[in-house]
Amino acid sequence: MSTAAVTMSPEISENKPSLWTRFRKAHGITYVVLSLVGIIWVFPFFWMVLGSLKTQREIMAVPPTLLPKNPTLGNFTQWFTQLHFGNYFINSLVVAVVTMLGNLVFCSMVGYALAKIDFAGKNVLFLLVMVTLMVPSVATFIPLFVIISNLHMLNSYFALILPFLTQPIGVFLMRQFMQSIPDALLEAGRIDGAGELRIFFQIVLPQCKPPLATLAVLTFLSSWNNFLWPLVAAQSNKMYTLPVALSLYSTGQNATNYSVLLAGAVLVVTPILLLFVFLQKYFIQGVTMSGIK
Amino acid sequence: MRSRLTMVVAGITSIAAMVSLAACGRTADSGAEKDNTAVSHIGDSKASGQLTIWAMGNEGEKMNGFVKKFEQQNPDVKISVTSIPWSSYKDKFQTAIAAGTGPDVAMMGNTDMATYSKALSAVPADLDMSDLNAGLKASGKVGKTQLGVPMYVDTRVLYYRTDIAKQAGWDHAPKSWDELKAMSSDLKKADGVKYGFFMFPTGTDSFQGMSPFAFSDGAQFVSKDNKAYTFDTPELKDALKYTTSLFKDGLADVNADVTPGSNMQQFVSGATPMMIEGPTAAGQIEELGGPGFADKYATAVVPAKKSSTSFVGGCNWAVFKTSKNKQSAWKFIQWFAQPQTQVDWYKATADLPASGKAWKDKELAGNAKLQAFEEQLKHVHSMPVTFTWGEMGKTADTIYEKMNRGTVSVEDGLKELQQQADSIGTGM
Repeated sequence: MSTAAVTMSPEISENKPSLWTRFRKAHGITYVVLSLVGIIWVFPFFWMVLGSLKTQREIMAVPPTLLPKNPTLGNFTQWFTQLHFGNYFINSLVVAVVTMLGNLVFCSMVGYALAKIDFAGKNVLFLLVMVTLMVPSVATFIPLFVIISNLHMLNSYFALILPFLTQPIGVFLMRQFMQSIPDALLEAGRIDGAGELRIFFQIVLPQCKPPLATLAVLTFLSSWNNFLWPLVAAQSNKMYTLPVALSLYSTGQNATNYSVLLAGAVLVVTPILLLFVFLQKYFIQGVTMSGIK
Repeated sequence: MRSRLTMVVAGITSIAAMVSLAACGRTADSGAEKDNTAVSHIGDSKASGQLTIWAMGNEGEKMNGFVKKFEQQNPDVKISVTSIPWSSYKDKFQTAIAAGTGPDVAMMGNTDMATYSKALSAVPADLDMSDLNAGLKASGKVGKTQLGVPMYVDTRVLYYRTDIAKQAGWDHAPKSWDELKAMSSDLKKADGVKYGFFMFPTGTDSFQGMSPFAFSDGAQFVSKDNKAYTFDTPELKDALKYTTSLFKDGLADVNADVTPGSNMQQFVSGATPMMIEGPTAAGQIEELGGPGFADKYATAVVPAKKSSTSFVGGCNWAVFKTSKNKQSAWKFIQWFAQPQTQVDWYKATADLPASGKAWKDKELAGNAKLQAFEEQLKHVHSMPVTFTWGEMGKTADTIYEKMNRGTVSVEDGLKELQQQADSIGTGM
């Protein structure tokens, strides 16, 4: 599906195609342009990886070096030995995975109800969900903190997870996709005596792999990268997540420790990259179908 | 049917909005209420109970182990330290104050004291502060109430490369403004030197960076009663004429890279062998310069006009009104202010002691590079303690840049700055 845009219509055939024509036929220009763009996109990433192997002195050196002169794993060992990387990693992982699972389950349930079940006030309910999308998060930030604080949940995983467990964007995504599932399919299930739950889990959900994958990546990513909420909600260092730890150890009042920052960035980015690589196929399908990324 | 439901929902939403607005109003009122829970006397008993301490960055990290000694002396107290990133501590404080979930004790930048003053509890009368740095102590006093106790000080002194200065025929630091100019222009002739002196021409806190010149010329940024900013003065005009001329004469780079740390990097490479910096710069340039670099530079008090007066920064300790264990909180702060604790803290972090007696310690007195700081701390001035200094500083940075680039004259720039300052007001 994604290759369709790249494929060109076949050229009028010639007896002896010139070099230029053959180059064009083999999508030569496309590849050159794509490679150039690709290099520009990937370069900062490589810079980060290479920088994580340098000392602070080498990073600040003028003229800058591309490849590390004396590659060192010192920055990484510092994260693992002195900076409690394991603790923050587990916090980030627990929060991101639970948030992701919660969104997958609850958003698809709400989405199913809004798309396929008839009840009074359904459209108003959907409208309300959409309205919450338009409230900027900065406006709800402090009230949310006060609520969590009054529930005595601060400094627990609940504080970090609960506010993000069901996000309106996910409900929207699932509803839009489920509307395209033919009613006849569900009715066939009903005629065979399946209950609503069974229809949901055995007929609807298996159809929804692309939007579920999209939602999984989106929610995992936003939770993984979330900085401000964990910073404010966590009341002790033990509950901080990776982005907070990154900021805590690398930026001082007047100075930035770039070597620790870059090594930390590599450690933070790697799980996300792996997740994307595994779910890439579904993810792109989901994006093209729903128009959300 | 549907439209009626929509209307009902809209009605409920607007009522909810009004209710929440009303709630906001009430919170603001209660914040201004008089504080009846302040501790008047610390007393001699030992500290006890739970204490939460918030501290930023490196200080937060080091504080964790450092408080053990206090816990040993006060076996009934249990301290937990939360470290907060410097880059976003304001978010943490603001939300905590809004929700009333602040810590017992917090480290607080001296220019933030006024901003958070309504959430802070007054210093008890029997906490002896006579030994602590006067400039920083002044920044902890908001209106008539002392809210902060100096934790550590930070001041700016002149750093210069002795090896390059020798090449240029200088064996001492510039003592006056004229000498600074003469030396900068001599240094430019040495090998590899591009500019004689580093000053931030633009960027966050660049205006604060020139304040040692303003203070040395006798300028004050705010009136004695803190009610009005005073920028359009002959003293500040004179100081700015001098600093802008450094850029105009090519002695300092008006297009200098202003990312944090770039001045250190240029200092180490020798491209710009003089700068005005704080105490943490020593550790940073020695790390960048590698072994042996410590012998290649020296520190000195800032060049004098009417006097040699630098600006004083640093942090205060403050106790939150919401704290349920204020008595012990103040005991901790009292302990931290003792000369011996201050010396130990310097050894742990290289933060300069706020206690005068601590400077008599062998390790501090024997360090040649620290002498300049000790000398400088006798003549320092703090940034204005006003509610609007954060905003004012940003405005000043913008106009300061225009003056440095010559797009506006010093006279016009100061008039504009004064106008803006009058419309912003100090909020006191």
